[in-house]
Amino acid sequence: MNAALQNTAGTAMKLEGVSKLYGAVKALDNVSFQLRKGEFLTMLGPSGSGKTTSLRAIAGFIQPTAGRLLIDGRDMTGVPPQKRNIGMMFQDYALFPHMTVLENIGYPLETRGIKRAKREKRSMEMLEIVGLAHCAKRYPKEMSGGQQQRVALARALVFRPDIVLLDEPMAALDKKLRGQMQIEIMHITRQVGATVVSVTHDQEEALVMSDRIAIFKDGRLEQIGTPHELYLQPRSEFVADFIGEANLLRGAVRSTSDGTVVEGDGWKACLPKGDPRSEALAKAQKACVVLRPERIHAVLASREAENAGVGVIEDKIYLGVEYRLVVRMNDGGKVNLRSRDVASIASMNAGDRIGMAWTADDIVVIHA
Amino acid sequence: MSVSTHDRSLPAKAMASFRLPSAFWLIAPSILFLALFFVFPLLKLVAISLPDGSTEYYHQIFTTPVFLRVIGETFRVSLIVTVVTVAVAYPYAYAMAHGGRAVLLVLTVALLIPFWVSLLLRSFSWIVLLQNTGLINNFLIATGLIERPIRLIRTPLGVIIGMVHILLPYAVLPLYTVMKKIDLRLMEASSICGASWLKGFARIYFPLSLPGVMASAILAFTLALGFYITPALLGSPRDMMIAQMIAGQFTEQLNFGLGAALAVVLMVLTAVAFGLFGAARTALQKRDRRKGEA
Repeated sequence: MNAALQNTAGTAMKLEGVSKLYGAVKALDNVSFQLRKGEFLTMLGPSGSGKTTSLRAIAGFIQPTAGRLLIDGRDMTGVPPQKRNIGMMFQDYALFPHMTVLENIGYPLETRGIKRAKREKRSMEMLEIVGLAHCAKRYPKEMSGGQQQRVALARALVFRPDIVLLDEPMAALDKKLRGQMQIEIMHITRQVGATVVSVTHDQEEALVMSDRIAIFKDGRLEQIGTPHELYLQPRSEFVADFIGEANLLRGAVRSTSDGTVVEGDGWKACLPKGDPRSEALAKAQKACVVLRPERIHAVLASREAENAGVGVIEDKIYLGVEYRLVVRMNDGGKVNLRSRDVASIASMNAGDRIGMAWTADDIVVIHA
Repeated sequence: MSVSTHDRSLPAKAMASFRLPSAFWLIAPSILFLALFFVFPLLKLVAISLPDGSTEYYHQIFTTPVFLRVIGETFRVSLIVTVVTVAVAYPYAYAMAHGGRAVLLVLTVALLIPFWVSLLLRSFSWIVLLQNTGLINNFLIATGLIERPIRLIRTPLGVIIGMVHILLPYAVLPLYTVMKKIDLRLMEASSICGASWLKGFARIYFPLSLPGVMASAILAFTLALGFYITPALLGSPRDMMIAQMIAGQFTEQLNFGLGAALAVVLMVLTAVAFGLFGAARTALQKRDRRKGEA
């Protein structure tokens, strides 16, 4: 979250217990979250998780079965799309093929009764922002995919909407263009101060572009937070696995005089007494320990420690700045670890038995 | 093995020239048939209309008020019929293109079943429906909406109703083909841009459906110009169309020369109308090609 964002206080949009039923199928199940003005939120999840349904409900293309949608404090539930003052960039852009680029961008202004001269002036300004001023008189099909996307973005921004929706913004672009457009879209939306809701199934895209990420699963909002929060404090195995790389170790919970221990065959994670995570596990039988690959240290000999494990190296991969090790645990499960300690890893080989160590601060515990 | 490799490496041009004779022999029978039973009679017709190279019949047509009136009437009725047909076909095709699978099935069957029934039979059916003691008048009288039967048959209205009905499938199908290719997400985009459905229809959907409207209008108009049975059965002698007049010259007046000249005039006028529509459509396509639509 950046400083500018906190300064522009105020809620741009609020979803309150929004549900959508298709027959017996719950496409959206009691989804609630808020969006601050000027924020870039990405709804992330696998297909069928409800992220696209949420986007279409915000746009007004579908009506929720239950719940409310507030935009700028006004109840927009049941208001048709054309009266919501929302901009949207469609997955395949949905540019009007019979209109020039300038006419396409001017269309939202035309529907708002703005006169031609003023319309063209504002459309040209927007075209300059997206860097396509020389293409004003072209038709959409005469342009490349990346250019079409910029036109679609300009059309979604030109009338200074309360919220801008991006539906899978990178889906129609080839891989090379994606990285470039991610940064560019981020810059343009910041420049005009837009509040953005984007939808994607690509976690990298979500991490690059968003102030906050909302993770969806099976129609429910699993967790919402900054990329940093989601990475450091995932609240479920799903989130831990979806954002970044994660090792999930499932073990039994045991209380000791020093605190709480989660342990499995050949590994142990200890949380000191007084640690909130330790308190939270008081009544649990089983728990899942999340360990990020870069937080695990490979050590030569197995040693008795509070936060450690043993295993056999299955693969050793050299990646230049770091080594990646795949370690097979006693129970057959695999753990990935990454190390920049190239010198000490160099002497280890596939088939060697190694020890792994981490600290209590590096682990996240999820109730199983 | 070596043979097949050799075959594959043959240039496409050589293959084409190798196949040419067989393709020619395949279409030869139809060419022969058309030459014998279509091109030859057509030339013969033109010859009959110009006895000894004299253009007297054409002179007669273009100086006799009754002929000019019938030609004018033919164009007037055809134009009205075209407008009404396309106007009726448009929402019908829209429902077929965007109404879902069940709607498409019902509407297609409803459209094509009458299409398979003979034209004569359908025109006669309209007599049964439209006459003074017919279904429509009886119904209107029974419900008390009118006291005396409205005159529907033997009027231009009757002719137009009958012709629209018969031309409807011709107008619906080209419209449907164009409409089903229109991406409805464009209408979603239009609405999120702030446009009402009507505004979106006028600025987005209708312009994109124009090629279909043109194709429908060409078909309906050129077919309407040559209608014979329907106006003969449903219209009065005053609403005579050119095809009826041609038939009259051949079967009643036995003036083959004048009949032939009228037929040539109809043919040329139809060709001109077709050419005008075609030119407009090409201009439209040219504009669309620039926009990258196939």
